[in-house]
Amino acid sequence: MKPYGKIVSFVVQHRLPEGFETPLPLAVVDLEDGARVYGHMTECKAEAMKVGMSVEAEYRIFYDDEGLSIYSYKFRPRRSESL
Amino acid sequence: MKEIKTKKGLYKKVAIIGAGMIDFGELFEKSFESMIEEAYLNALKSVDKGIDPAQIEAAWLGTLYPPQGNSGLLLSFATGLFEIPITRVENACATGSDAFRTACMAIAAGVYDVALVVGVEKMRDDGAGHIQRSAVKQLWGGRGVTMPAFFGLHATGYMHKYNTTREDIALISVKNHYNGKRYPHAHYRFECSVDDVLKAPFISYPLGLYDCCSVTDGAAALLLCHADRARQFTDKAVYVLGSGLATDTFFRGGDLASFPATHYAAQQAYQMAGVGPDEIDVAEIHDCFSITELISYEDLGFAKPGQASHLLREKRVELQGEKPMNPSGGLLAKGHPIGATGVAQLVELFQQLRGEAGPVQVQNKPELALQHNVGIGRTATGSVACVHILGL
Repeated sequence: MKPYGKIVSFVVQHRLPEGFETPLPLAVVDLEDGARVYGHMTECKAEAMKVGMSVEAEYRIFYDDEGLSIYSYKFRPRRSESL
Repeated sequence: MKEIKTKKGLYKKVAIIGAGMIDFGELFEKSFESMIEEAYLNALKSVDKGIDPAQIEAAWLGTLYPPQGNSGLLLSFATGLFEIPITRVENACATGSDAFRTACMAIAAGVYDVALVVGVEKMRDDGAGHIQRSAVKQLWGGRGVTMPAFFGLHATGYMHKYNTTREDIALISVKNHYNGKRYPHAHYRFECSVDDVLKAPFISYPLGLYDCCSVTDGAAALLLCHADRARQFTDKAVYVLGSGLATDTFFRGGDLASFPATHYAAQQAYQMAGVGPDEIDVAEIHDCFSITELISYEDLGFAKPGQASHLLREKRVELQGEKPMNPSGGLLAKGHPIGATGVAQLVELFQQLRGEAGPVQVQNKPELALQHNVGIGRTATGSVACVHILGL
């Protein structure tokens, strides 16, 4: 499955339980291959997020579970397709 | 969707003969049982010709996070009703409405003649930590999706699709707090301006503090009977004309600018009642967040897609408007004690239709009322919606 998609909608969460970094941008993304997923955004200013924006999935640490790093995908703005 | 023939199903088979609730708020001084007891006694007292608790043949309890176990026995301890069937119902934030709907079906089926429905939730004094745990669990399970985030995603989707502004959405909060200030049972009894809403801290952009309902304790109760027995209890019964319940998820597609579950539930209820949205005089709408009520105007058929804010700008849905929405102040002002919410909406509409709603009585002589209650489920990937239509 290709790691590329477009933002369907998004929020920026400002109030979360202790232990979460805020503001936390979160998007619903339609992947090019047809799947719709939830994903955290990274490497992107909250104000820069837009519906329809192209994003790509990256493998990142998602959270720590008692010292154990849990990895998952996060989305960031898609870099130029020529690269 | 399976076609439900007009005026079939529950149509006029069940009568509401009594309704009671307690003042919603932060009720640290009241136990789970004492909240139920007070709502139950208020419902008993409201029956015009009186009712003996021994006449109650069955009961349904709607609650999401009960303090001691999960059974219907909680309701027995609070009311003294033992030896009869008591069923506990849970269906996310539509819990109270589904408890009512299930009781209606038992009566319509002829199994029982008289039944009690109670909705209750203790959310502030949550010793077991259910509310906090559900939020945290949801954060991981749903990849960071809290409840304000789920509805905020729909706010972003709606604003993008229709060029709607945060000011348009804020008009819901302003209207509901105006009503809530006048509603005796509301948790928050203050008014706010569009400016207040826009300048409040963000909870989950684009939703700010006044776009979100509160964490509230409360209880509400309804007494139902078979329509054939209604005259025995009152000459002013309110009848159930239609009922609908549906689920949907945005993983099936769509642009997050509507709640399809509400549309499907409403269509079921309208078909059963044999009426359309234009004929509804007053409604209690699930405004867990301001955007939920705005979008629901469209899903319920009160406005065309993208035009919901016109109802607010033209002042048609205000307390003294032609089609008042949330005369009680809705969840935004009244509060949202989950299991109690749907039942309290029905209590309010029972009083509106009978002309007994006091300071928030609507002035359009309502004959048809609509109740709408929606919950989110499956780690915030979709919704469950329940709609009822009541009439005299």
